[in-house]
Amino acid sequence: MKLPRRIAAFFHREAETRALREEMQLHVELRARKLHHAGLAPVDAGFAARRQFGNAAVYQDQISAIWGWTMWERFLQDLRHGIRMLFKAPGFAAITVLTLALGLGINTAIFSAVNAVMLRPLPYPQSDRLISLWEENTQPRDQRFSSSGTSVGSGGPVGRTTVSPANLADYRACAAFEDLAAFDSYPGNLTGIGTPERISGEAVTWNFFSVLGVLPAEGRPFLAEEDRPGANLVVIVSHEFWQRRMGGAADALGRSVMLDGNPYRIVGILPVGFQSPQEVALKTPSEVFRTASYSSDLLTSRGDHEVNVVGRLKPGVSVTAAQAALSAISASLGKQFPDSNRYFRAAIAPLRDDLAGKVSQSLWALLGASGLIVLIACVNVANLLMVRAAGRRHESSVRMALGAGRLPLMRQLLTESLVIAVAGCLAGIVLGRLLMLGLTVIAPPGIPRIESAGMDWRVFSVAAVIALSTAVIFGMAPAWQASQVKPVEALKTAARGTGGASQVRWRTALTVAEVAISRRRCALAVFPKSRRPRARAARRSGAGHCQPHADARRLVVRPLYRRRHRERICARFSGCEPGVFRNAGDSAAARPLAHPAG
Amino acid sequence: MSVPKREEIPPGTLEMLILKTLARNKPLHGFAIAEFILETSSGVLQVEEGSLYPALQRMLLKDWIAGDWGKTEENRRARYYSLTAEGRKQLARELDRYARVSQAIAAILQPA
Repeated sequence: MKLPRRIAAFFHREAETRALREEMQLHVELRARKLHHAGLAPVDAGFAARRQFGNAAVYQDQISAIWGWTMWERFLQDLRHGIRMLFKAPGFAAITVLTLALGLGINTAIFSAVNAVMLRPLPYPQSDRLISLWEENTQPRDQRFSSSGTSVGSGGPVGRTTVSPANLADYRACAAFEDLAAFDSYPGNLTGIGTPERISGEAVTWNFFSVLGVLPAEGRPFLAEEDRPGANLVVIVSHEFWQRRMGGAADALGRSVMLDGNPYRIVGILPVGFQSPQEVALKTPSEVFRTASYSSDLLTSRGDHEVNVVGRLKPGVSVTAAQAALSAISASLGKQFPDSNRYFRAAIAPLRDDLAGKVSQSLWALLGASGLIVLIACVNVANLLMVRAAGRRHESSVRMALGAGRLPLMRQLLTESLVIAVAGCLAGIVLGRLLMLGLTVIAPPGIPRIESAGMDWRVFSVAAVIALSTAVIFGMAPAWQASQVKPVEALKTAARGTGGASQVRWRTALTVAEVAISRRRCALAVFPKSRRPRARAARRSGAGHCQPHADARRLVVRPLYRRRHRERICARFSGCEPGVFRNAGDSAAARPLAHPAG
Repeated sequence: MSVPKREEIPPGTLEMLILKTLARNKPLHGFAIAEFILETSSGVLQVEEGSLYPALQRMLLKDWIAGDWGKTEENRRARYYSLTAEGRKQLARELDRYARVSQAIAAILQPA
């Protein structure tokens, strides 16, 4: 009740101010008339009435404060002033806004990509219950190559592999799953519609769509009896296939299309935008889905690891519980069929993690690096703001000498940096969109869902929070410094340039922070997988002793890289010769910074 | 004509006096409110303009009084203030409080 009244009044405050003036004017006149009636001369009565009334402007101010306008008016004033000051120093404004925009833009773009690939749910109903299932060859490496391949159970695919349809039948019996379905890439030669063309497609078990929880928009899913060798040839096509190749014909259902020289009857058309896990992982959209119709040979040959498997957990069953049940089944299969199954164990993971898994580590590293870029940008902006505050000491001291309070001064500087932050934030989002487009175009194939990456409100708010907190935290430092100005001294010296000792201390601290951050970022860039236990162990034991494997080449770069980096820092900040700290410890890099040359 | 010695309005009572003034009259403008208080107190209580208008604004904001524009007898535009239902309740509360406080003060001041 009160708040809307205040807000409404704020927008009518000019009218309200006029009304008050009119009211007070009337008051003075009425009093003057009364005094005149009491015997004063008209002129004297007017003076006396005004004298008695006092300072109307002061009352106006008091009333403004009562309505809570003061704060807003001052904020608007500061805002106008801040924007004017930025236009007066366009170079500073442009550099600061651009620095922020670059930092935030990169971060926003990377965050959007991470968001699309890792955080957004899959396009299936209750996708949190969907899992991916594969088989793993658990045979130790050394045994695998020492035995000369005589035993059937050894050899074969290494590590993670696709599932053998024969085993799948047993896994489907596991009580933890609602169902399991298999799918595999199965392109076909399309003839009879326009020019013959090879189109991408999949061979799926009949329950594939019900496991994903997606029903065809038209027609029906596959029937169990259609998933057998020799059954009627049927196909379910994508919405795009229907639209593009059949012109969206109303009688498409029931018509036949020629695939690989055989007529397949269309029994279903998928909803718009359907993506099978296969195309989420690859980039090519599947146009036709045919039944897998595994042969009886394949269904008895447990050594043929051929298909991808997706499953749906029963409600309330955890991945861990399902894994336990599944392990029991594959262990008993191992005993039952030692020749083919001794070393093979079924494993599951949430479908989302599995699809994102291959790229997630480098994306996290990238996200970390881009976060550090934002930090560096913020430090740079803070530095710029501080230099600017130093340049404005004279202005600050004049204003304080004229009676400006510390608080208004601080508030004004803060508003100025907020203006910068908001401008930087908006520019960063625009830049982020552009980078986003670029990323999508240059992304290597195989990053799932990256083409669907779009900026959403989470991206926006992360960027906004970063920019605003930058402004508040770093805007506070110059504001605080400015409020420390002793007007008389500053006026006397009218010093220009880099400011007092405390300011130098501040900037030194910021430089140290910046170097520290960029060191970390370089490290991240060189060792994107350093969180892996193997790499960590290698680092502990010293790079020279680590086992030769894929990461080792990059690990040995480190000591050399470190030394060069340290030398560069030393040369830059203390003017000393490169190589002075060659044999010193890590802390040597920080030492010269404690005594800045400037 | 002897002018009685004027007194400041005791702090915290101005709003009560305005409310009571409005309760006893038809809607009044600011000057009339000040005049009414001055006359009714036989010239003792002088309402400062510097407190009157901010007080009126405060009370408008709290919805104790309403302000409607009208014309004076000389056909001048003026804002006439009147009591709202909320203002009436507030008046009762303040009168109650004032009675208790002045009783307490009287109890202290009376000769032992």
